[in-house]
Amino acid sequence: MIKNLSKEYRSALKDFLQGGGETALENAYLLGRQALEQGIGILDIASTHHQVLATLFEKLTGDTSHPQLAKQAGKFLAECLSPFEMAQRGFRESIASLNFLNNMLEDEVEKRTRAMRISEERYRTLIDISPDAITMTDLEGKVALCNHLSAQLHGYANPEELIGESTDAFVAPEDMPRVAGMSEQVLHDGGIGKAEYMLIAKTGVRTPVEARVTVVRDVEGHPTGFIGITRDISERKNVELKLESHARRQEVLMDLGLRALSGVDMHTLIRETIDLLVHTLKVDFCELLELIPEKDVLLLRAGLGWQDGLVGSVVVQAGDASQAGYTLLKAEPVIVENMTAENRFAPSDLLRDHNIMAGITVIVHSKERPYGVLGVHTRSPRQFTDDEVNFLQSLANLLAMAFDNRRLLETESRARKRAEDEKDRTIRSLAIISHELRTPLTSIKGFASTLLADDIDWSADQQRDFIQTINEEANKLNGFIDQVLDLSRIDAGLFKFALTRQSVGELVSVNMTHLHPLVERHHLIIEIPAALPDVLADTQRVGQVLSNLVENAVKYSPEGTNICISAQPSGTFVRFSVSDEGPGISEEEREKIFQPFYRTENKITSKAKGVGLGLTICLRLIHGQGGRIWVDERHGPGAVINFTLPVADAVQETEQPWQGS
Amino acid sequence: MARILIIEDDPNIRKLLGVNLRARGYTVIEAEDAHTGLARLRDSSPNIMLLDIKLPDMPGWEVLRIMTTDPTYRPVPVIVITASISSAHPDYMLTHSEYLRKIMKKPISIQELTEEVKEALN
Repeated sequence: MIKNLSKEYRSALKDFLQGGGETALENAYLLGRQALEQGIGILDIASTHHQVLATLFEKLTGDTSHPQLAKQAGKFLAECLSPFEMAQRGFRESIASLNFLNNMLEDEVEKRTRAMRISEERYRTLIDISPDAITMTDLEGKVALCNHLSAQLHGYANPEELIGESTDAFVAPEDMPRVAGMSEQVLHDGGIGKAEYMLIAKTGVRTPVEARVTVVRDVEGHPTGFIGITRDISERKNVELKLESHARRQEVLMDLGLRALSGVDMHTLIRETIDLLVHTLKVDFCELLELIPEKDVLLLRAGLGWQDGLVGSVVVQAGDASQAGYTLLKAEPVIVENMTAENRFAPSDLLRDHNIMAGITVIVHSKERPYGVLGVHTRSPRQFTDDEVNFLQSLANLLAMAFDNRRLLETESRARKRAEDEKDRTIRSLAIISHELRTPLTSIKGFASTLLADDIDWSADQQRDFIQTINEEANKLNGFIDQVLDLSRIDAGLFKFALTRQSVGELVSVNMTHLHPLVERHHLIIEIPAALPDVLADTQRVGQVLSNLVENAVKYSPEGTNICISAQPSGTFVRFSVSDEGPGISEEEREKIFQPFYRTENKITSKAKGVGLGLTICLRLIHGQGGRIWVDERHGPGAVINFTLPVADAVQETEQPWQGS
Repeated sequence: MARILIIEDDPNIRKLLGVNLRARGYTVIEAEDAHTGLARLRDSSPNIMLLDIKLPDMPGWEVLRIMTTDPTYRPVPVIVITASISSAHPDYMLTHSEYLRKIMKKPISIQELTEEVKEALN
């Protein structure tokens, strides 16, 4: 369009100059103006004007006889002056712009050339000294340039050998779609593409690599190929793998720690630990061995991988006769990478029978003592990392902690149970004491108020009977209070025993005065051999025990039968026995009768009832003098209660005076 | 005159209750354990029963239960006399019956008892 306009203008001017007259000039003028208004094609118009004017002036100077022509030229000039000037100015500017542009372009070209020269050198240097494999390809992926590392990575000795090969051929098939997708994207979006893939060299060697790829463009910006840096990441992968397994082990530890704290039973915790060990360390065998100190062996307490029937029964020797024993001996992890080269200890039969070649054993050390050994083993030789050893030791420590916790919990629970039992007993005791106090008190208070009743006149005999009953009940009450107080004082450790050396015969005869009144309707037989060693005892307390036992015998055996007190030597003690001819004491009652307030059913008479403290006090009194008391384990009728007192010569002087416990 | 059955294992307390009630004109039947007491309840047709709880063969509450549930017994008003009862005692809750007139705690007042017996018989 523009071109046409200036062409038309030029031809119009030509018409005018060839004598086209005013019409031609007018036409040229309009076209020129139009072209100028559009402001384009200035150079053309300016040069045309230049020609026109030159022609006009030539004609004017050459032929002045053409006044009309001169007139026409004047008009044209007047008309065209302004556009012409514009055109001229435009021309000048255009030239200046052109010059500037030209200079600029030249500069740019020179700069680029220089830069290209420099960067190409740099490029080569960079490529050669790069720690990474660098490969340049064309758009099809054929290698155009590469460094030594790249060639080596791809399985070639020299870079030249790799040139022309397709990089796709070295990508593991499973990774190809990803790598191709990455190239596609880089080509489309620009920037740098990244991909990790398995590179398979010409030699078949597989190397995990990370590739960073960008597009190479020519001066016009058209893509001409790719350049890529390929880095061997097998080391990193390895570390990642290690970190991952380390992290996993930490998680396992945390989980197990939580389980241990959650109060899961030990059996489950041990089983879970062993399962996790086998799974996490990928071993064939795992075991927890418990040290049995008195037998100097380690018992296979729990484990995995062992032949059936071994867990819970098989033992290994302590000391250097087993890996576990050696571990206890050294108190540090014992690592065996190849059993055939082992010379620190003799492997146990257990390890030999299972063809174990490698393993780690660590000590499980609870607060009080070494509990035992935790171990893992494999059938083939294997190297173990520090991390694996630490992991095993951490689990062993965790188990030890759990054992300790368990022990503490059990101790605490036992103590609590004891305290609760004690409380129950106290409450029961108080209920019984209350009852035992109220019963005689009822008679005392009742008969007293009966005597005082003003609506009835009691006979003298009746009054005497009531007062006797009051007296009887008051004595009973007094006796009961004495017993309870005695027991409390013994329990509180306030009971002092006056232990003296004396002959057994003397000890019994001194107390006969108290015993005789008790056995009015029975026959009391004393059988004390003369040749008995002296005992160390508190005469009064022994008398109290004998009275109580004889009293019981009287209560529980028919009138007219024999009650026998006998004594005989028994090691460093003298054993006393009180026997009767009553129904005897049943097996289940043998322990119970010494408990406070325990009362057996009396088949002989319901009248003679104690409160169930007599034997409890006897037990405490005998224990307080260093002896023991028990019901004879004999069958058939007749109760026999034995107690012992220490032989004086067998007791060291420093141990007296004895005190109740 | 009314007949009173006393079931009480302590001989002196039995005697205490006996002399006081006899002196006031009642006929007193004594039993030293639950079984004897139940037998006397059947064969001596008392009008009222004084019942101890801590008996050698069974708890007094059991006597009360048997008397009120076994149709072969003719139930009579009962005054329980005990040294060891708490009102929270489960047995007490279970055996609480229309025949249980009063629970008296040892040591009891003889005057209170004779008044209670008089009232129960009216």
